[in-house]
Amino acid sequence: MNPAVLGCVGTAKNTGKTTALTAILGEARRHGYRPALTSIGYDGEELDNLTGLPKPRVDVEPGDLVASALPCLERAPAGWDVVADCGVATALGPLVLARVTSPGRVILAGPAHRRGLATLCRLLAARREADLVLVDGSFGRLSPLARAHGMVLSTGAARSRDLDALGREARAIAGLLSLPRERLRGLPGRRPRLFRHLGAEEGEEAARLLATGRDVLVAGMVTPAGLARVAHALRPPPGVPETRTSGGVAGGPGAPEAQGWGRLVFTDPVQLLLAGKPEQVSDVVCRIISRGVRLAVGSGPAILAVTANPYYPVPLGGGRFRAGAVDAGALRTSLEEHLGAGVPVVDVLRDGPDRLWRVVEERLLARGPRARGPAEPLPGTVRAGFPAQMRGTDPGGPGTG
Amino acid sequence: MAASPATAPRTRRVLLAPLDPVHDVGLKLIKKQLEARGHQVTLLPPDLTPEEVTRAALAGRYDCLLVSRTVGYESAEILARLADLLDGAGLRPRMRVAVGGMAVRPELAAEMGFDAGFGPGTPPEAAVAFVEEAPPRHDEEALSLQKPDLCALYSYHWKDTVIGDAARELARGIVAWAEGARTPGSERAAVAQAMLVADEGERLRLEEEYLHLCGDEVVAMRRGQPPPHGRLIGEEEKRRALGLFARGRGWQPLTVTGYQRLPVVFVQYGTGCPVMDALHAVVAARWGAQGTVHFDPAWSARQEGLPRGLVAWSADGTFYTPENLQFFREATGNDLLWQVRAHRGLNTPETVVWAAAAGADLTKINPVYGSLGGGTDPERLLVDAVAAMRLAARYGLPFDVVTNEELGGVPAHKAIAGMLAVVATALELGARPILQPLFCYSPEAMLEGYMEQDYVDWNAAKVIALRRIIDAPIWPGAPIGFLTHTEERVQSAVTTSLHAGLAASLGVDAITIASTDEAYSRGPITAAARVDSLRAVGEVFRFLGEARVSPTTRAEKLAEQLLEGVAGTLRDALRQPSFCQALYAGVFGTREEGGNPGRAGRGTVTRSAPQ
Repeated sequence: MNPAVLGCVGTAKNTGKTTALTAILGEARRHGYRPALTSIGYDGEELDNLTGLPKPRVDVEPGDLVASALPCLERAPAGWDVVADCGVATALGPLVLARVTSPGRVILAGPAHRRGLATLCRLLAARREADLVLVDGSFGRLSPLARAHGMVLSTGAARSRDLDALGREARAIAGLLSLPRERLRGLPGRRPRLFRHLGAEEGEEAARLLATGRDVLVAGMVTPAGLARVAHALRPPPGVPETRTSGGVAGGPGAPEAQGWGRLVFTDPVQLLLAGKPEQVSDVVCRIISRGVRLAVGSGPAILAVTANPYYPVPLGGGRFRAGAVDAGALRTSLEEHLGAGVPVVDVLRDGPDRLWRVVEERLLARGPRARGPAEPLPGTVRAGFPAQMRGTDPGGPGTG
Repeated sequence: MAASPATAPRTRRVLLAPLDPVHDVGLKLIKKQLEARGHQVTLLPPDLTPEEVTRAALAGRYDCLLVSRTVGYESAEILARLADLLDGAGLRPRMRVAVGGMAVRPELAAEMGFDAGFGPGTPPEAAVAFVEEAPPRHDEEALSLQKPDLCALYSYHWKDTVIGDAARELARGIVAWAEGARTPGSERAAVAQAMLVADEGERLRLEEEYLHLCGDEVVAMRRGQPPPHGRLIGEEEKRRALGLFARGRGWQPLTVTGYQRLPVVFVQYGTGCPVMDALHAVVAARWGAQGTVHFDPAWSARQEGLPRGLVAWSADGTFYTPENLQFFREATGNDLLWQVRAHRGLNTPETVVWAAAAGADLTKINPVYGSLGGGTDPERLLVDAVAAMRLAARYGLPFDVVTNEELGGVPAHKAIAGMLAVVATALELGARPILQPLFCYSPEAMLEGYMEQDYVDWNAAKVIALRRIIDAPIWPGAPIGFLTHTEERVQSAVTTSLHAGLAASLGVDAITIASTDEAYSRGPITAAARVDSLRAVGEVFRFLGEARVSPTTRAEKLAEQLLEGVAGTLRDALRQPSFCQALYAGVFGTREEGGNPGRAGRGTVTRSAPQ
């Protein structure tokens, strides 16, 4: 069975992603799952590489699988045996899969990009020794997690003390991750047009194509200008009033789909999250949807929960910090109000790890591998990934990007 | 200069992106080197956004992207965003990405999503190696230092015929005098050689033979009793320690740069614990040291016989045992020049045997210092030293002839005369000696005021004089700047480094330096203090480059004075019935001057025929 892949990401450093990860790790073991652990950055160190702040430990138990750069494992107090070379290079050395033989701390330095994570996940799927792959994020980076099955988003006062702003941002991120999934199948004579880059020029062209009923597939970098140009260039079809939405993407588009317009599909929601500030991107996406365009993503992780961390580091000068905190209840309330009932908010330290675990189990693991999506979490390249999704249709040339 | 066809790497397309507003000099240096090796390089203008860099990367089919950025909190977020954009744009499967900058370390590069990170001080060659996917610098092969042969460039031709003739005459007398003489030390050396090739049964028999030649305390230790305040290190502990050292391989050594032919920099170790010794040596190597010198316990030098086993104790110096020596070599690899000293005690010949067996590169032999300043009886040590020099010649082990008796107050000209007699003896026996004058603030210098004016002239005079006497390698020690150090670490590092600069300027072949806490440490010397000195020495080498320290005209006068003194001392020695008698008679340093013939091993020389 292919393991579920869960990414723990944060909106900024010190928002609690590693705390969320270790909470899920502990509960996964307790409930009899076989976890595998990795990171798309560098986690588990005692002090943060940049801020010098203490970081949460990543402790492993015998039987756990860990994928990390070999030199990092070699410095780990935990005992381990290498079970496979992953064939992936990292800045710190070759990535290896190891089985923990004695408990202790580990440093995780895993694949830095999609292809590396895909390779690791294929290896884990082939070995059938893990049920759940936990991937620690890094620096708010998202790209390598584009085809994870689920995502836990950590946010909190380290990102901003403006609780309403935190709520708005979390809602925007959750909304973009919740866009409808669409497997773009070309109709006879109507092959989708592939863009590997959506800048302003390409946005203009995409809008023209969409207006003529041509499907558009974006499989590369998306710029705010490109999205804005799509939104700007599209005019509502006759008889369809433009409807502005105020609730972000999660609030749902306000306009019915325009008959005869092409579909705009992004390979994954991470493309959109990388396009700019989530709220601004969400707003533009809403405008495009409000024009009547059917906007979807090919695949991507589902947002499972948002964790709230009221603590933040207060610089004291000289590289020293103390812990500050916002009102934990007010933070939770703000996030819940913005996210609505669809996305649970968890304060890991106050609620305990079991609440987060229940969410993960219900929303990810209980659905089974088939419901989680494609068995192979990530293709080697974006281009290589499309034929499977297209079910035999031609993506339509190299596009204009 | 372009790479030759035989070594030309596959041409890569490389994109260079300075994300800093203005600072792109590092990338310009890299560009120059990459183009010299035939790569196609595009340097973007500074201060582009991650989106613009990604767009540029999409526009061309690049194999590599090198980004420079001075990392701060926000910069790291920008770099991480760039890494994400490149990945999201589908570029990463075919394009490798590295980042360089003042605060960049490999760990941070990994965290930000890059394939490599280059911090301050990284040479452009490292970036070139990354582009070419060449084995990284920390590969075992790349790391292996080209261990220099300190003696290779020298003819050992005596330029001063008066001094040379006298020294050689003394040497011939020493060799003849030692013929047929033996000591428990020389006999143990013979047993040790037999042990090296014996099978298990024979080794047991040889062990019993060896024990008969040892003192009681060493016998007890060889039979399993740990040394006072010490213990034996078990097999499991040894295995784990060696494992740690094996994992530690691959760290990049700090390159000490300079334009002139730099002396090899040695550091001293002898913590009492072989594991800690190896750790210190590795740390020193990673900070630019090219050689290490093993210090054994003063206690052990006065014992007949060497203990065995992997032994640690909490007093000064680390025991010479075959196992300790083997551990050091195994733990530190073969990157460092390694000197195992055999110069002063009752175990001189067999120390050479075990040193050679463990793979040491150098040893140290000087019966003049060992007997006048090291506590060993002159007759005993002279016999042992001749045996040791024969062994060193057989094993091809060069050795320095130190003049540490100067530290006790013996005048430099007498110490140098003794050294030259030993050098001549070594040459007579086919060995390769290295001159080791002191670069120190010796009692003689204090009393005579040789160093009141500066620290340059007196030290320079010794080298000038030696250069006029013989064409031989010179390795000032040990350590340089001795007695100029204080408890202040900055002062200590500075004085060491300035002496190093002087030594480099004088064109010597090697130097031994002290850690910055060596002058006052009553306990363990810290690894950080070793790094202090090494960094300071590296900076002075870099600072001087091709420039030279210029001694005053006084150095010339002092050198002439030394030459006269050396010649006079050698003449005085020739008037004695034997070189050994000269040692007892104070020709190479009277008791008043600080030359005190030692007592350890007195009466232990036996002769097969009267001399």
